[in-house]
Amino acid sequence: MKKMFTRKTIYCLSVLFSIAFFAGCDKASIQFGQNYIDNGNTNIVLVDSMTVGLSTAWKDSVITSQSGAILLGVAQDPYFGKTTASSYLSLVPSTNTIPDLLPNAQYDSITVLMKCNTDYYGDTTTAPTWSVKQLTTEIALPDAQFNFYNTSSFPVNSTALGTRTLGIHPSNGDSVNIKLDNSNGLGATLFGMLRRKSDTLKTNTTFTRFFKGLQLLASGANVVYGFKDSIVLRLYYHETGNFYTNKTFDFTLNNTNFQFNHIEADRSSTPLTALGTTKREIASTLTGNVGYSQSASGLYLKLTFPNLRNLLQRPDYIKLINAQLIIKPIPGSYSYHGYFALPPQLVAATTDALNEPGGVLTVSSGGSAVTETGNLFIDNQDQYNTSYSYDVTSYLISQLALLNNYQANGLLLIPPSGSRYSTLKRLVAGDSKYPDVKARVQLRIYYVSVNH
Amino acid sequence: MKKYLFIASLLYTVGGYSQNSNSPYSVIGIGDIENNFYNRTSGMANTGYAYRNDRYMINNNPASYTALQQQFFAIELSGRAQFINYAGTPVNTTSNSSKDFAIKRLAVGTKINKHWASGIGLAPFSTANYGFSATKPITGSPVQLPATYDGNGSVNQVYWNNAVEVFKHFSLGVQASYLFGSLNQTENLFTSELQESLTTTRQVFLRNFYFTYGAQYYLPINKHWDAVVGGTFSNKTKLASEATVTVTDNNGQLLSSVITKDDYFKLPNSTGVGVSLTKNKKYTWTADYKYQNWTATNFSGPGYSLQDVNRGSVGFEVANKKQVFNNYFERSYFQAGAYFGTSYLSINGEQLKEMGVTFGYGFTSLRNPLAGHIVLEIGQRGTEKSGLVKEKFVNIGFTVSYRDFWFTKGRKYN
Repeated sequence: MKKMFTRKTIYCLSVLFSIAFFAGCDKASIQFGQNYIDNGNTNIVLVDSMTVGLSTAWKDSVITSQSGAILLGVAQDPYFGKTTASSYLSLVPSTNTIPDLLPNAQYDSITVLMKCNTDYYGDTTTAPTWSVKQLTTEIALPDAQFNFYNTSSFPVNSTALGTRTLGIHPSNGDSVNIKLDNSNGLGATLFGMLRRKSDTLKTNTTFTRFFKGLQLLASGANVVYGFKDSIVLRLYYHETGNFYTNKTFDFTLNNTNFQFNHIEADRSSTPLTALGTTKREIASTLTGNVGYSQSASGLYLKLTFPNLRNLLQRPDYIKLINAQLIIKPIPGSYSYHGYFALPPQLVAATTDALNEPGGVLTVSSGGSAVTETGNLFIDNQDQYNTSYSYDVTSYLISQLALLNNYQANGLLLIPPSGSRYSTLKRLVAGDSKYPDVKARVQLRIYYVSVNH
Repeated sequence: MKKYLFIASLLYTVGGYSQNSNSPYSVIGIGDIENNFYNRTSGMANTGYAYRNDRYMINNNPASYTALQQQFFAIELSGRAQFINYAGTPVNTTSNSSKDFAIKRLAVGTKINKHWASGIGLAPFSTANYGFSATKPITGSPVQLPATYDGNGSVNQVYWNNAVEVFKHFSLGVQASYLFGSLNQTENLFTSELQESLTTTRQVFLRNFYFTYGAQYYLPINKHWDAVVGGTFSNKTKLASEATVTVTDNNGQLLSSVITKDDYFKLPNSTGVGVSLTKNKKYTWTADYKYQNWTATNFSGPGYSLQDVNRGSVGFEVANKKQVFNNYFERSYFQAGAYFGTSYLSINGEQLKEMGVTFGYGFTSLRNPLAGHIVLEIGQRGTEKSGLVKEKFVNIGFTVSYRDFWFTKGRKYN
């Protein structure tokens, strides 16, 4: 036994182990076998035939105060009817410290100055007539009301303080200045208060009791413009000391909460007339297989997934891994550089039977949640490529988990909260049965399928 | 003895059946079915239906066990290193070779009395090892997803051989085997766009008893010549299988796990016949023919089917023996062999062919209970035609044999 490990044996064993060591493990790369394997168990399946329910939800009033925008004009939209926007606002002295005027100070004029925020809705080649009217009632919130709505209004003096017909180029951020008529005496009155340092100017409360505010309007053209709420009522005067000096005194927005847009829509010439005055929602099937979104006038595009749970009935269904929702504006309903542009961003807000916007869909990007705003892709060559798209994976997964009360759940496509009620840009989207197949809403659901 | 058993089992455990060389054809059926017995006959192209040896267990034919020398028990451990070069359109020319090492066989046997010998062993029956990348379509879409496939596993054979010398010059043997093992295939399907990756593991557990019957007739023809004729037969056998398919996602969450039972695969009737002639107890010529009726199993799939196996081999051996009184002690031997045969796979209309030559050298220590041999095999399999792969391989095999007395304190070997 002891002699077992002779030199020869050790030699042989070491040869064996060198073979083992030398051989090691190494794999070649051979792309062979795909045709011969049974790999039918697991698949990713795309379902793109699932119906997406489209409807137009109508809110009889939406909050338009504090929107940051002043909407003025009238536009005739073939899809949405006639929309009229005017704005109410309250102005106060830009400073309550009244400057000392020289005794020879002379009143010159008074002008409303406002700067376009580049937003427009309609035909910008026509020149609207701008009007400024004075409120006869102070803007104030009624009890238990915290906002003003598109339906809110206050009485005005029927005679305009001033009017002007002027075309603007919104993309340039043009300004509009409307010189008020001196005949109404507003400018001279305000100058007199300034000259004598009237107590009325010293607090906003006393001033608005005197000067209740303005209604701004535009008419005579087929367009609604958006202006910044940094509006100024400017009093021009001059003094002669050593030199002749032009001077101004500004009245600016009192409180953004006391500025709101009054928006009226006459939809009698459109399929939306079927909404009447009592319905709160109308299915796309009743409006020519399209849904409408124009939140500033109270129209929310709602999408529902009525057959989603059919997925669960598929025997091979394991789990939903991805779902993409693609919404297409119907061709001809918009044009990018033309009259009625698409909202650049639309969020997908979750909702239920009440059609109130809830939380918005987000996607994870770099570890943080980013609000989905539709990734609007505009293809001017092929309008069918123009679309909004959303990753609705998480949303649909959460909906699949619900056991009841899910039928009326859906998504509202509306502008982000910052611009939700400050623009009339709008969308008309085709539903799952829209006659033009290429303009239909699409839902692409990818799920894991396991067959046995 | 315990010590050696321990070493042997340790080696076996360490080596395992770790096969890492790609074997692209093993994607089909139950993988590559072993034609190699990893024993003394390996140097003669495994030609051994009619081969008998007094020291080595010739598991080619269970009837040969009666040739074992009485009073001894033997342990054999065999391994193999493999180097393969691949050619053909599916092969990446910059990564066209592979190599590996594996322990292939462990056997223990003894001649219990003058007429009865018995032994047990463990060897691979078939092995699978492949890996490739491919694409898989999203159902309902033209999009193709990248997928990788990896397969491995083996069907192992644990056998119990019994041989009886029924009358002088004639022995019968039976090898009762239990085949068991699993063939595993993993599909990794990933899509960065859908942020999902799916791993599907299909594990097919196969098992059944499998019997091989053997007979050998051996007699001296004259003063110089000895002859053996032998044959084996294996019954067709269904392999009971149980397939487990599990699907997990990128979070490791189990999505599905299903067990199905099936007679997945059938082994056909297999017949082997051989003859050997030995001159002056020194020169041996041997020839084998094997036929397996795979066609009858009706196993086929897209682009492939199983076809009958025909395999012929010849071997030659020169033994250097030392005569001590009336006994011959073998000190060393040289072997050579060649084989040609068809594989059970026919792919794209091409039945794979395999051929090769072998060389062996063995020695027996006269001072200790060890003996061993080393085998070189050079061969090829497959074709580059029809999009297939040709494998050219070099195998280096070895067997270490340990032999000691059995239940007796009788004479010392050295």
